[in-house]
Amino acid sequence: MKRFIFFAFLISLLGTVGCTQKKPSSSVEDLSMVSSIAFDYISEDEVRMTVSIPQSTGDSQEITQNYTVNTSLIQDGFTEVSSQAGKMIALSQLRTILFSEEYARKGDVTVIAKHFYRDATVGNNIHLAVVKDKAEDILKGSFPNIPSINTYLHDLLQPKMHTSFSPFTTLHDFINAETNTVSHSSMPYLEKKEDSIKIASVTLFDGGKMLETVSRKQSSFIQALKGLDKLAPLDITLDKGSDKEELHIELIENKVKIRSNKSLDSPQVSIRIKLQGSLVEYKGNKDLSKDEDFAKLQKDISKHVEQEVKDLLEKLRKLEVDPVGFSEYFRMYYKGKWNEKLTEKIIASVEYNVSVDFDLLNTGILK
Amino acid sequence: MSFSESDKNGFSNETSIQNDNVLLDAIKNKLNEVEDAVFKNIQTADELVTIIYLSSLIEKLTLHRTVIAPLLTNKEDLLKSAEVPEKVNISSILSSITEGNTIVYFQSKNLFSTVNTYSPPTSSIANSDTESTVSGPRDAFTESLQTNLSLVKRRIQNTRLKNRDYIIGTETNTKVSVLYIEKIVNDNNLTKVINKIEAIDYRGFNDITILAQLMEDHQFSPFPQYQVTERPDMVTSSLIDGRVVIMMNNSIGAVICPSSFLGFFMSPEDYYNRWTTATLLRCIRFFGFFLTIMLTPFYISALSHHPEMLPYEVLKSLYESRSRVPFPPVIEVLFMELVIEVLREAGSRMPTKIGQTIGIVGGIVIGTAAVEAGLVSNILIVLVAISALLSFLPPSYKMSNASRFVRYIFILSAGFFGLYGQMIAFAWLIYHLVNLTSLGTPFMSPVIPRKWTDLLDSIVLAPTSFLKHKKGVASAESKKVLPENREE
Amino acid sequence: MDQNQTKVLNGYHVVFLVHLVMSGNILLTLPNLLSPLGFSQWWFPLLFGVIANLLLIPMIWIALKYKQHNLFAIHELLLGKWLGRSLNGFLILYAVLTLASVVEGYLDLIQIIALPDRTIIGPLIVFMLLLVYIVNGDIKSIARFCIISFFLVVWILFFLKWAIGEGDIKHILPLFNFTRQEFFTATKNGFIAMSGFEIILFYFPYIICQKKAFKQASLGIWITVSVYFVTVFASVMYYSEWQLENVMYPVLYLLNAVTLPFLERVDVLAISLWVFLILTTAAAFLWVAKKGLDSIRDKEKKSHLYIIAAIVFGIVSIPFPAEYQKMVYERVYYSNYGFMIWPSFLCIIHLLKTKKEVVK
Repeated sequence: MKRFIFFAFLISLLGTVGCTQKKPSSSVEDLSMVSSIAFDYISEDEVRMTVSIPQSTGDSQEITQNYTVNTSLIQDGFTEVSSQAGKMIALSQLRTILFSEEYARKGDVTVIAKHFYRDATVGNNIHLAVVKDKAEDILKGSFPNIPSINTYLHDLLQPKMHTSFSPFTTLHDFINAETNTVSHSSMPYLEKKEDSIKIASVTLFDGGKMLETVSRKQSSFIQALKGLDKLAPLDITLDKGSDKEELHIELIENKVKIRSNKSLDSPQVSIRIKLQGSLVEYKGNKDLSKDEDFAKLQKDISKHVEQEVKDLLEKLRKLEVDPVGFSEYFRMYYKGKWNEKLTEKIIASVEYNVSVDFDLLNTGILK
Repeated sequence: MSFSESDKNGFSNETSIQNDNVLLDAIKNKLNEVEDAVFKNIQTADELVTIIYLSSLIEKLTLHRTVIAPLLTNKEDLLKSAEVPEKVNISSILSSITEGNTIVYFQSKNLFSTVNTYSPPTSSIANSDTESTVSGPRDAFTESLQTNLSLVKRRIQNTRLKNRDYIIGTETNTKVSVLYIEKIVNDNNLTKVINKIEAIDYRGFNDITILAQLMEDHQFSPFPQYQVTERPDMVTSSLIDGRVVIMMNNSIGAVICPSSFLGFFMSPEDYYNRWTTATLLRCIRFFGFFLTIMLTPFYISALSHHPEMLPYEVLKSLYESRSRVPFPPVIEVLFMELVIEVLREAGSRMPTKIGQTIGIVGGIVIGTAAVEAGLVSNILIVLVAISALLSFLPPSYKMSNASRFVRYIFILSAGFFGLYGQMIAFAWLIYHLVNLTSLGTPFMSPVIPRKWTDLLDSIVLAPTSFLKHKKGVASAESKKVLPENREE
Repeated sequence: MDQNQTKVLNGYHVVFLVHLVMSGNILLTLPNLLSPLGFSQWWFPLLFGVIANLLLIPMIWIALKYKQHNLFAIHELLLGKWLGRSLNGFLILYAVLTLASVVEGYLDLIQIIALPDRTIIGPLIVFMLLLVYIVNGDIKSIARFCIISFFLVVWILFFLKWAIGEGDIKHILPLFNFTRQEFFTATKNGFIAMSGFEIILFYFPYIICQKKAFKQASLGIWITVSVYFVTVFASVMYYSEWQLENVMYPVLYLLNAVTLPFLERVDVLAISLWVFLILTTAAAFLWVAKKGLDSIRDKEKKSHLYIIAAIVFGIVSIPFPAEYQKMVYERVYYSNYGFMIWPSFLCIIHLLKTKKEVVK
């Protein structure tokens, strides 16, 4: 009897739960899975949000649906989009967030990033990028060679060998760099060409605002200083008046050693970069089968790279940003709370000792 | 049991010997309406002999060779070979008759003797249907206990291999034989088995699986707790592990007690294969079991609760294939799983040739048509097919049936609560398995090893020379080891 | 059924019981709880391990004095029937509230991450049913379940590889970069992660080899510590200090960093698999509460288990005001510390009492 009562209770409990539970509505086909979002600047407190939703081919002929709303609060924007799309908007498949250059300069990227960072349904591996001109145009544009803009953007912003100059900033990377006290963040900078999109350069951020772009090559060195082991291919032109040499080096392996003198009063950082790469293309007068010529070329390259790194560091100092995070090498030995002021002080007063050692491994299989 | 009544009727030993014709009449009376009971009076050279037997259990030729011919020519030989029961009463004679013996009654000497003439038509030793292997011995048990015992005793030629017989089944009086190897078997296990068999109160046994179920420790569990095999080599290896094996007349299976969960995923063929192959196959079988109960539920949870889990490319193809399906994923999966279940059942009930057709009809026509009609997505068809195939991986048919049932629990819980529900169900499964016992031995050994050496013969099979130790599952007596094996 | 006062737990059982009762949902938030320390928190699990191991000594000592009795019985023996029983009442309340907070914490998380558009009631019901089913077995089946759970869940640690790969090892310096105030706040918040090993006082009578129990329990504690250490270390490498302070469940975001070609979000899988850790913790506490009720009412009854489960169900499912709930759970945390130190007092009482008896 007891058992009977227990089971009866159980069954009625399950029954009531089963009946009162509202129908599971989070099934895939009831949702509009947002894949990319673009933000454009309107005014200080309004933002133009474009949402791109890839559609299954069964549903309609269009491959992506785009909705654009002007809103001051992001969540409001999604509600609005939901009402337009007819289905509930879900962010669980979000892959890319684009900001227009104008927004990145005038608005605050951190606010938007934190909004998505807070949302548990959004992954932390979504990629952020800044777009020249209007971000909306990228999502809405029609590119004959690109069947699905969302997949394309996703692939474009995935780390790859030949584009590894780009930081491929994910949401976590951005938040991490923005919130720590020692370094500044950066993002890839996309440019729309005739019928394609490319990562043109890299933008630097400070306090959620875009500052300046740096070239691919410089960005590649930033990545090298950050400790990336495999660098993007490098084009070098050694121009010494009469003999001009052009080189293309690939498969560059990078080892970097950074040391600070632990002193805040007269900060010094010694940077030793060891690079190894294979020379793929060479235009110049040297006969590379000769050992001394080869050694000289190596030396020239090392010197050239060293100078470029120095130039880069000088440029960064002028911009008062530090995407590499040199201050970390001082924070490590600092007792007490590190803060932005100390970082600024380091950036302003630090002295860099750069030495670059470039090893050419081979010159291809032809002599 | 049923004979005890006749004892009450007043046929005690003394009376029956004094008054034999009364006894004969009583037997006749008891065998009234048993149409195949034969009473035959044979006039030999010097006296009248009555033979009684059941013609359905005895071949005419055997009868002639062993009883009638000697009776007519050389009576002394027959008397030497025949057994003369110590106590003659109606119940012993009746049971002797039902066992297939022939009763020879010498009227002048007033002597009952029994001759073993049991020779029913038997099926010959054939290959195993449900546990077939590519290499290794092919013979499998038949429905005859005698044959089966001979198959085992042929393999273990050792007097320490004991078999105790019991009669169970209040109506059928089925004979079971409990086999074990003395000094290796754990006496606790043996006593438990014997106690369980003696305590059984059940009317009839058609197959040994009924006995196995009656002996289970946890009868509400969906899992079989004793392995039933029809392969003599499997029985042999279990016996030398120190386990107890029960065989039953009229049943082609032998029950191995205790069994372990992992044992259901081991085929005797593993030991005939190279250890690398065996390890690979065991991994596939074992993890296949968990995959088969997890695969379609995962489809449900991913689609209806956690679309963020899937990479975009996978989701896209799922999304596309599901775009025409009007049901929620749970209904879709349940529908398809039930269709597979129906196909399987229909296929197994039909005569072989039609059964094959059903497989083709089901697989190709229903599958393709269902996708085209927009009833299910084609990815689901693939998943259901894979999980159906995976469910056939365990060498034991019972375990494969268990996985079929358990899968529905997972499907429903995934439908309600997604991955969380699936993990709750998984926790239930694991807890249940961990606490199942087979004859008091934890069912999950050697996943939780009873002995560290068990790990050499678990999911991973070590090379054969490492497998010298007895398995811990039967907690075999370890004192007496190899050298004594050859006493005789 | 409970085989009362029979010894069933072997060494492996003890190790994993100690380990898995400790690591519940606190692990998910541990780096956040320790965030007042900033990056220096990474070696704190080791410190906690030492403290916990020290606290274990009086527990085992007093338990070895009363080999046949669990803490409830020890209380009655040492403090007399009435005082002991009222104290046991508090212990039951403590176990019930801890259980409720563990379950609620986990289910809230499930609601946030895995089942965003659901109420908590359905998952709670299946959870409680399974929990009751588990505790229906004796402590040995809980222990067995612990062992299996450990092996089913421990591989998640592998996924920290991604976070460690992306992180910055330089964060571990400087070592002692905190003030005394920060140290105390963090210890106060974070030491709760070590709670759970004190349950050994209740299953101690069931241990076969009680002499070795200290060693085994310590091993369990240090397994927990190493798991904590790896996670906290990975968090320190992966996060900035701001993130450590503001991300509520740092471990989930650590798992979020994983990129696999066939699985996008490992965190959802991990948080669902986490139910094993929660089940083991909750089962132990439910078992303790049931034993407590048994000892107070002087009889063993299955219904005690159902009563307690129903109470827990009620506490978790009734929506109390959030602040009130938070306050109650915080109190429970602090009482937990009291409970961890309590055996030392018991030792003193025991010594005083035996001395008295000798004097008499």
